[in-house]
Amino acid sequence: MTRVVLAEDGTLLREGLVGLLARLGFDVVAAVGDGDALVAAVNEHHPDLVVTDIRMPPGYSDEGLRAARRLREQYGALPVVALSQYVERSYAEDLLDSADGRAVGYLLKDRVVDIAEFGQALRTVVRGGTVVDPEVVRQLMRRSDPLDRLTEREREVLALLAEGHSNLAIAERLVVTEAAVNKHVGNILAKLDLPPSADSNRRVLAVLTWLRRRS
Amino acid sequence: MPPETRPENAWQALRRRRFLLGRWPWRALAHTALTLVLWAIFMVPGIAVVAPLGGAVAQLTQGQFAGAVGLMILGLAFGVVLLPLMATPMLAVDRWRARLVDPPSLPAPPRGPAGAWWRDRYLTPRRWRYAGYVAVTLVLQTGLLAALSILGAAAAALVAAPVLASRQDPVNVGPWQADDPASALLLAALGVVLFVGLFYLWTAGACLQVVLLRRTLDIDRVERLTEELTEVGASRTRLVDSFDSERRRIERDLHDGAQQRLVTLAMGLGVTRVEVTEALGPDHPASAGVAAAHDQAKVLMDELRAFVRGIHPQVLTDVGLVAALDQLTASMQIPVEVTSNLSDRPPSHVETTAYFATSEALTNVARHSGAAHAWVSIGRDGEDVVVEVRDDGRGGATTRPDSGLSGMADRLAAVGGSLWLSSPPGGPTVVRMRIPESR
Repeated sequence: MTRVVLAEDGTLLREGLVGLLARLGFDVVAAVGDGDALVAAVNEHHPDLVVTDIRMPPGYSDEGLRAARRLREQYGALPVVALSQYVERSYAEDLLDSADGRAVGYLLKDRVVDIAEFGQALRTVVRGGTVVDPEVVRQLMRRSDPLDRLTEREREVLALLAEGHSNLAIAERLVVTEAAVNKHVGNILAKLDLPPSADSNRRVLAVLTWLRRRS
Repeated sequence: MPPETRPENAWQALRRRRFLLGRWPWRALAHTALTLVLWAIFMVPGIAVVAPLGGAVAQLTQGQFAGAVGLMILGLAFGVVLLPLMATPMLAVDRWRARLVDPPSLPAPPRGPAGAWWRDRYLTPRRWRYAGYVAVTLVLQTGLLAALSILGAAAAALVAAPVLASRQDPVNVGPWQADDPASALLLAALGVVLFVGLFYLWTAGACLQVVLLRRTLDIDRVERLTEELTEVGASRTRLVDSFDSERRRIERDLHDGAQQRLVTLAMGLGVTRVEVTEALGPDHPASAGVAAAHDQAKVLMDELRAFVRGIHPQVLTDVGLVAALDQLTASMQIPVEVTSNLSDRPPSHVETTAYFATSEALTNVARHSGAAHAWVSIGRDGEDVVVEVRDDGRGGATTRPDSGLSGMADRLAAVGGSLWLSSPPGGPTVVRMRIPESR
């Protein structure tokens, strides 16, 4: 069973998340309310996954994020999913810069209410994957002019790609064949001057690297 | 010539033909006579000033220069100590008697700060101005009173010339001599003319005194207005600040309270939705009901999030202006490019003002301009943060008093900033906001 340390300062929401994680089949070994307690809990329990709020006491700015970075420096690519009240590019960049962006997730807090998707995102990160909130991708894409070269469908595919979906999963979502998705991905990577690759995780990172360079 | 109205003060009456027949000369005379009251007030402690000075004069006449200088210094020292103290009651009497010449009451001198008695009496320019005024008044008015007494006596003597001429021979009044009834009558006429002239003299003297008083008190009024204006400006700044911190508090309360509860509720509904659907199948009415409730909770979450962002975006406090504007423009219908060359974060009141003003400008762009693109650039110009919002729309934006733009201008003015708008018909529209970092 995946052992989780949870950090969230809102008591009510923390209790709710503990229940939710248990329901999703995770073993919550510790639930804490600030960044220092998070570091202490991880040092004590050595969990398989950390789920943390970004904004926590005492400063209510990015305590969770800083704690997560520290832990990932200490424990290599410790899987971390950071929950944010709002989309902030620099937060996403900060996380993706740690441990080559492996086993990391940046999600809007509101995503936790879509139970199945949330569970899937957590499992993707535990497996070493990267999950970035669609809203972040959307904002980054709005700011990037070369993306204007992409068709509407290609942008949809890119957004799903950036969320860490496989070509098959994308095909299912868009109700098209996997071959069509392959073709779209090829076009996207070509239009964005990125070499094609079979590794979905590397593709996500490539896309995000490109997006970050652009912004 | 306009119809004659009743004169409102001695100065107006002075220029009327019927001046001599009215009440104003008598009021003015009373005003001048009340100088004696000023003297009476002054003399209570003022003997300490006058006695040494008088002594000094006496010593001078005896050739005792050293003693005279000593006494003079003593008298002046008493004067310096006492004048600012005596100025207050004397000024009060002077203000009161001024109503004889000009009935509308003059502004009261401002009260000094409580608990700073010595400072207020001796270290404020106002008190020394009063002291100077009182000293000048005593000299001027005493001179006037003396002149009036001498000239009045002379006039009386002249008028009495015919009577005197009939008894003794000849009559001498100053340079004039009357040795027959005819020339005595001439002197009497001269006396009457002198009397009439005296009426004018004392009235003019009283008027001059009131003008002097008014000027002295007006300096206070200008000072007070300046102080009040400074205070009004400061209180406006405080109001805007408290408005901002209140918004921030509401945002925090909603975030810690309603938003958290709502997310927890939606999460619970999400779990129930999965469980009910697994247990009863997706087509069961209960599954559909829970699904609808879950979806509604999510919509409400989005609405509450947008509402809270409108009150005060958290990202503005946590990360800064550019990040907040990024988030704001991400939800706009048209592409908005935000660029900034700020290397550090401006003070929070600057960020807050810039954010809401830019937000208002972008709302205008979205509503009225018909633009396809908009650009926001943020930079520094000396001590000011400058934000420019530009669009490629149709132009013609104005700052009507009730428009969003004029609200923006008010908001900017409250922190010492300014708004510049260029929007020719056909566009483009450029709004430039300038906000000083210090205030």
